[in-house]
Amino acid sequence: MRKMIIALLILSILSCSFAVAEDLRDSASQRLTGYVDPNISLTAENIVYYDLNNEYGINLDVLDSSNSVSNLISPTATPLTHSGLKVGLLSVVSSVTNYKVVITHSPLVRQTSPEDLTTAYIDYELGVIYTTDGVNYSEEFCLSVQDANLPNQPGNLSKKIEIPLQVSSGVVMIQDAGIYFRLTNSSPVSVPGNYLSNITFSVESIT
Amino acid sequence: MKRKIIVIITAIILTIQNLHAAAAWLTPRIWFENDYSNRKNVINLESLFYLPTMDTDYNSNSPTGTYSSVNSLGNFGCAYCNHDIIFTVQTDGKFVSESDPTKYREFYIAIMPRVRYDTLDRKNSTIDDKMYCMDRTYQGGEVAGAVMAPNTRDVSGSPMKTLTITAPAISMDPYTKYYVGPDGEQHVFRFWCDVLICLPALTQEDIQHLIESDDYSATVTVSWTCVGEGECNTSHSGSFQFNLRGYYKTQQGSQDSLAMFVVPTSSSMNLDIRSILERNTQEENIAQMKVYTTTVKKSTNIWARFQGSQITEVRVKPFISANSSWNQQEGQNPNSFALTNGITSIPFSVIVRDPDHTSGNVSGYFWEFDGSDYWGKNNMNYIDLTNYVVRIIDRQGTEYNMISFTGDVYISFSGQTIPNPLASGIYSEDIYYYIVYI
Repeated sequence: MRKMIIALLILSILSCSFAVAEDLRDSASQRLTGYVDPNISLTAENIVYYDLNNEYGINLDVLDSSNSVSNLISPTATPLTHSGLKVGLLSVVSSVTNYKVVITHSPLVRQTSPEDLTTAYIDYELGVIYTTDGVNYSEEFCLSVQDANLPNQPGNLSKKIEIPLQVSSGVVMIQDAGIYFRLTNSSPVSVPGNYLSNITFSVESIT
Repeated sequence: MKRKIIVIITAIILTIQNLHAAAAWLTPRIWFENDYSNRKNVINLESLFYLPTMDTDYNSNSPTGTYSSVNSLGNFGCAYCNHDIIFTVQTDGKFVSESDPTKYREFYIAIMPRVRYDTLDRKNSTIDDKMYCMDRTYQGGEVAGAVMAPNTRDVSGSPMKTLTITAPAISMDPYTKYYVGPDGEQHVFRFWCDVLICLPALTQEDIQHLIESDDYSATVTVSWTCVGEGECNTSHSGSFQFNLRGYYKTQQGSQDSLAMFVVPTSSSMNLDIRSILERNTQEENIAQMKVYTTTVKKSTNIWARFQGSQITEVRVKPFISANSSWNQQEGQNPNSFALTNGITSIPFSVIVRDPDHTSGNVSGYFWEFDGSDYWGKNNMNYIDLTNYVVRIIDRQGTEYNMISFTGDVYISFSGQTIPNPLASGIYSEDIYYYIVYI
């Protein structure tokens, strides 16, 4: 019996000695994209922020030096990834040509109530960083589209981002493009309250 | 009498033939050889190949530091020439990416002069193979020309760098054409140079102008000119070119030098599914896949996981999967390939073919994956690279295995159950390439 145990032990040791280890030495991934009939698919999703009090939303108090938003003031020339707050993701897949994605946004508008009818708004800059080939990246910016109902704001419909989806043939794909937010130099926040902005994504034909 | 005549005539004929063979053997000649061309055509640019220096290697007859079968590109030389021959090695010293010419890796060339004395009786002789570095003198003369430049980095001139070396004339008996050595014995004499590629360690500056790619190329040109144009059975000048290719990939492991490249086709992002389904093959080329190992060593314990007696067995196993984890955990259901628009799924398989065997599905050159493979799965499907192993025995008797594999990758709907009707929409799927080394 003892001999058998010893033999088993030896076998066990031998089996350990000859155990084959394996390593994953290299890997790659590839996304396949295809289409059945011409199509365009556009999806956008929020990235949600909470302040220190666990309140939903972005703290816009730029006078608070501890608030990182105070550092998120344009100029536009500064790369978005260094001074923008990523607030959303945009993905577009298109198998048709001569279309474009159009992004617009309203100013941040103070929400009123029957008890507090004070109106206020904050202009801000929205940006997007995207790539259609995975190599070359583009950055586009725009201020708020002006709302004619807001005081002292002349209309300016040119304030929008346009991303062309035209290639010679085939599928154009933008995967998880970052949507960035930052305040402008001329947009001090002076009236406390809750502010809301709508960002609109649409696909339009290039005429 | 008649029999004697026949024997004599036969002996004469045989003697003449032997003399003719000997004459051919002793004919003055100049040669160039591309060492182990299959392997040397692809060089791992992350490698560190020794760069000879003046301080360490000048006048040294110990080749340890400078010579390695790994970094020898080839050799050139001459034999039995009774006049000087000037050899010139020229290169701009850059592997340049063909897809992006701004990306490059610098290299240098060193040449190692060597001489050889053989006895005439090759079968029974002890070959006295002497090896000299740089300016080493040898019996009867001195190698000249490259004496003060151990490598092309130390050569002035831009962008082309040039090393020159002179093979000295050989004093031969004018009738026998045998070289008479100092020992009084008749010897056959040859002179040649090993061409060594040298890659210093990568610096931060180097990495700034390198991209992961396997399309780097470089050339090294060797030309020669006879001095005095003495007896020489060839033309009095000529040239030879080493055409080199290189690849660079980070974090591949410096010892094993194992790398995979996947180059998607433009159509992989643009699959007209309905059109593909209407084809007879129901296939579309989606990528080119390449696997390289250039310095995988076998039969020694340097890389112990490659030891064993089955010298033709390849233990580099690439496979393609629908699963983002290469070693799926037990109990998890593996995915299979399917293009999906979020609602409808279109199953497919992935086929890999050797581009030289595209007609038909030739066993050993054709593999098909359904996406469910992962490491540890029973009967896991993988690309058997047995047919792509080049075994090399170098001069020092060391055995190497090298793999150089290129496969065309196809999406295939053949044999799949395709939804009918096929819903309009954008469809996508991620596929994963893995290479496991055991």
